Amino acid sequence: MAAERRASWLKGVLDLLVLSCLVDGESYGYEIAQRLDGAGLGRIRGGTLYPVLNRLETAGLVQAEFRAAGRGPARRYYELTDAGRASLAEQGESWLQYHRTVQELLTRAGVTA
Amino acid sequence: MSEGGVSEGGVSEGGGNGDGADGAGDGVPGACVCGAGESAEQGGYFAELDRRLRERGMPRENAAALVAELAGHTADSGTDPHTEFGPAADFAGQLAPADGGTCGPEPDAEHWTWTADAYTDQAVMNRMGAQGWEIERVDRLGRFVSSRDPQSSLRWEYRRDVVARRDRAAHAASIAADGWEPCGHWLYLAYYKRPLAVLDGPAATLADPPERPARSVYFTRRLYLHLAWTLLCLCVLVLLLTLGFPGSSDGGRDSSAPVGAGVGAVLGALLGFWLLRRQRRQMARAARYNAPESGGSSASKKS
Repeated sequence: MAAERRASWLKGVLDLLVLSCLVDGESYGYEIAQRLDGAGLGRIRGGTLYPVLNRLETAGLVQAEFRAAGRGPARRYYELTDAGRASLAEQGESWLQYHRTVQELLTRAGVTA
Repeated sequence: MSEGGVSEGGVSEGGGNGDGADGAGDGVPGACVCGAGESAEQGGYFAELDRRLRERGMPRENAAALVAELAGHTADSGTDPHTEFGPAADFAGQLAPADGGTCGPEPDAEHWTWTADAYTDQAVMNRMGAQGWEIERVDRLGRFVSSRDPQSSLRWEYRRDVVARRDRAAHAASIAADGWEPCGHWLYLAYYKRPLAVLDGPAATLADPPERPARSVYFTRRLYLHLAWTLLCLCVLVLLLTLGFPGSSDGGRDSSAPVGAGVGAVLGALLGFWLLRRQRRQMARAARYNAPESGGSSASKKS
């Protein structure tokens, strides 16, 4: 039940989290998944992550460049576009407002972390 | 962010991975729970995904880049593509929604049937693969039935292994992780293909494929020598039978001739059997890639 709830939360915010992983520079799918895992969000499967990356690219929020390595697997490197940065700022702020509202209500109800 | 449909569409809903954001907590549940039996079903995952993406209208070059990226992901994570991405058909549906295609239906592909003997087939297959020809199957006559999209060709790589019929499925499973999928067999020769997009991404596409080769038959001098030798043996056999069974001189009462013929037939059969086994070993040694040790499918081990 707890895992399902967390998955549901993640579903609503994964695009923002992916965008946030690209703020400091370009990255590729597996590295993004590792960062999210390292941040405590659990392992995100490729079947979940790549459709999100695909939609972000289609929406023009990220741009991707394919680079084949001489050795090792080929990779597409994703980079934030200006529209992506603007979207992250706007949607991120919206999420934080929502988060504060939820926090206030729960705090009033006596819930503590 | 509504244009992107990320929030609207949500995270992966289907795709066989079930919950979409799996393990949104800790651990890696089911990171790779596939067993040997399941791996037999994984053959050509990326080739199938590539095909399905193109069927859904994704341009070949984009599909090639995406497939290479996903193959890289599984290489990095050490996971199985079925487990990581879900069934290829479902995953293709998420990556390229049916109404999201940016190009029209692909033009009619070129079709070409050609043949080569076993002494040169690997070299010719890969030469044709580099020109965008995808072998769809090997027909009953041992010919390669191929096709190519003249507008957007993809380069292909081929391999041939010596595999007993009963071992074909296990062998295909053992090399599927490297992107190989079966494309036909003839006697004990099994043929496999993989799109070079798995390795090279968009570089595997051919902007301007060359014309279809004028020749459709690639036989070597060695084959003709073998045929000539076989013909000579048959002639000698007929000659000996004629001389050994004159039928008129003694009325066929000489019993030594049938005995001699029988001994000769047994010796000939043994010699033929030995030559066939030697030939099979030579074919196995001539394989472009070493067959995997697991699965017990390599004929090089059997010969």
